[in-house]
Amino acid sequence: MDTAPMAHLVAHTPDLDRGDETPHSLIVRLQRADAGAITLVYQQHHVAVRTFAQRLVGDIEAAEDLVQDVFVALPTAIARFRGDCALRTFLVSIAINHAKNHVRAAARRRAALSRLAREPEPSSSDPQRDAERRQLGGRLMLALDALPLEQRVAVVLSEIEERTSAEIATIVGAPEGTVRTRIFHAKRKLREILQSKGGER
Amino acid sequence: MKDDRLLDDRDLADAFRSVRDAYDGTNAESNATLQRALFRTRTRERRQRLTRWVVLPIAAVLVASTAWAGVTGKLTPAVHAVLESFHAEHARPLTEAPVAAPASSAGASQAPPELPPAPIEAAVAPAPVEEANVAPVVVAPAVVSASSATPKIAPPSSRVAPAVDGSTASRGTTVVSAPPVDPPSSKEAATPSPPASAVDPHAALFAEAHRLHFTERDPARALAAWDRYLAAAPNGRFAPEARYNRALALVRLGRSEARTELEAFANGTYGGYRREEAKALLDALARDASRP
Repeated sequence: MDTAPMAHLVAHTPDLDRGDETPHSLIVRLQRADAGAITLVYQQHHVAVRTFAQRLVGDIEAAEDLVQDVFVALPTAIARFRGDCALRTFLVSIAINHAKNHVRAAARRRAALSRLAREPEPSSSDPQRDAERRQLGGRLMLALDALPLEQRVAVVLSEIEERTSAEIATIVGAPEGTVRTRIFHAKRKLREILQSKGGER
Repeated sequence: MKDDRLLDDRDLADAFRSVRDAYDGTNAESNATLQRALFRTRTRERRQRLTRWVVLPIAAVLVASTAWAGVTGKLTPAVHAVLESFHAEHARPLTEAPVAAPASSAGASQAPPELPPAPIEAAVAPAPVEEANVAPVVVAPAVVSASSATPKIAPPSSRVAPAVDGSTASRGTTVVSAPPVDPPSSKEAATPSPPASAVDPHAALFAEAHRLHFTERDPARALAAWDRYLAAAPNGRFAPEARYNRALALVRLGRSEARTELEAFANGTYGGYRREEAKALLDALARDASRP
């Protein structure tokens, strides 16, 4: 993970996310921890942040805690926001900086549930298809738990969020080449893990 | 091999898709999450405001005043005064009955700088050690009840009485000239000498009178010194002790008003403070006077 959280967003000027429409007054209000401003930003971006958090963490409760942390940290973190990227991208980068403990907690919970073999059962109209998908998704999440956080973030942003390498580089503050390398190694490890798990089945 | 790889990639892509589909960012708890985030933000802001407007100014004032005291040379006496009261708090249970502790601790918090340099005197003159060591502890005799002071005073009376009985010569000078006293314990001797004179001129007067009385053993000069202390601090923290020591000086000088002074203690004018000792001295004086 980047050692200087979000510092890249100050210096980096990517082509992506240019023309951010976040008004300066909103930034100022966020810096003052204005409840109205936080509510407004939450209403605009919470789905995107929560989606990323859920996909990264793989646990609804832990993802909700992460979303909460993001918006609590926002008034402090916004001081580093220079409008180089979209506010949504900035929020995702805050989520990455706060994800470590939540990912760990979710991984522990997932490992425990896996041992006890009692994953929650969501209701659906196509139980068989859902069961297959759920099983596949569960296996992937367990495999993701085995990856370092940098690789996990890169592969989630790339393969699940379907972001480009340039976007990911902006979010994580690493060069695009590094991002691609992380994705490559992550996918290779995931293949190995899923293959071995598949063989075990 | 290639087929296996392709199969793996398809499986992986399916897995990614399944995760993508499973998590779409919806949650019924989203409003509750917003409320929790706002609450935590408000709490943190309040804490930051408190730090900014209360804690930091206090810290700044402390730092500035410490720096000022250091520059003007007042830091050392202040530190000594604090250390002295700290040591007094810790030494109290060793020298005083537990019942009397609350009263004396209240007194200690009122005027810590007036503590006399008792341990130095104790090391030089073993005889008055008891008076010297008790003095810093019993700081508010008017507050101490008779029952609370009794356990502390009982031992000295048993020590003073034999000395009085043993003196058969002139009645004034021999009565309290050499009361047998146990050597000071290592704990008493190890108590650091408080620089009270540097803090309070009254403490310096007390120390001087104490030195003349118990080290120089010059009752006439000691009497004058006790009078000076009592004139300067008639209601001082150690005024009762000074009055008692003044009475002892009067006894040594053979002055008749010694009896009046001791009777004040024996009658409980100062509560239980030095009551038993004063009674014992009065009895000894009476016995001495009745002898042919």
